[in-house]
Amino acid sequence: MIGIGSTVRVLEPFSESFPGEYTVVAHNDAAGGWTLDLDGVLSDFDETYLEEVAG
Amino acid sequence: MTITTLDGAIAGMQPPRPFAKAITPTLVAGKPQSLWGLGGNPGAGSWDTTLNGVVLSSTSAMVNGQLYHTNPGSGNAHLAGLTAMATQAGMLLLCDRLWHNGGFTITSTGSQSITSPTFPARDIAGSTNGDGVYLGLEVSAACGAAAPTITIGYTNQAGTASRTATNSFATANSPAAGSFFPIGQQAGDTGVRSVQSLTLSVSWVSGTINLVAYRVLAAIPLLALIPNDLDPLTSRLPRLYDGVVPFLIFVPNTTTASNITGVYTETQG
Repeated sequence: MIGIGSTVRVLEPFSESFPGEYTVVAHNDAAGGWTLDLDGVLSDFDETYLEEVAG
Repeated sequence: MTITTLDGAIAGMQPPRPFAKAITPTLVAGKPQSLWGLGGNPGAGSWDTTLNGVVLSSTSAMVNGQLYHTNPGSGNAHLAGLTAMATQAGMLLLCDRLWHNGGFTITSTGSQSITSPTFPARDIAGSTNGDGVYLGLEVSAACGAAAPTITIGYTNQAGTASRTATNSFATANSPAAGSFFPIGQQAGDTGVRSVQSLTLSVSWVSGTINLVAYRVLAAIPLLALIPNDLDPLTSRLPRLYDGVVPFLIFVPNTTTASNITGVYTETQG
């Protein structure tokens, strides 16, 4: 289950630009998505575009 | 007879056309701001409201929001001069606006399909291939508190479909109207021939967004309150293909509002 601190992969069609693994740093309540740290840049993603990486 | 010499450029000079725009929203340093929707001189442009969008051309009539242009009676048109001043430092981009759309569901995280019409023959070589044509996401009504990643599906300048690219600069919560997010290119591409889809990584909560296909014609660096000028040599006399729809994008140095004034001049012949 994804939460703050989770490590995730981004799924298509965003994986082409962001092929790595990223940390969830916050929940965006207004948008209903998770905020990822994309190597220093923050961006919000709906959970349908995220896949948690097994720890 | 086409313009091939500096004397020819001088002989074909058209009357200078002034512009003046007050950029009122809070800007973001280093993030482009489109002047398309702002009142002033020229008056405000508008947007299409369909996903497929409309191509833009000044051949039959000028498009609301564009800088003044009429096609030459014979020969070609070129940019001959661009003089500008802003109340803060930045870079002013003169661009040709080829196509824009609208009608996106701002809260949707699904792929929103687009069947763009053939772009006007105004790419870097005057063809419809799309070389040098780029996409930008233009905010026409302030968006909500989210920072989505934008993925665009497009066909590149070589006609290869299923290309994807995302915004070059990060979006931010609640971008103001006029915010302009350039879309990058998939590796190896040099332009966009057509557009097939837009996907937001998360709901943008509220607001209105539009895609724009544009080509940069010239760029002029500005220091705060110090005019700068491009002439036929420093502007490199870029060709203005028939139907060109010139408009301005400002890349500010700071977050303060800014007045931008200047003069746009073509040579034709």
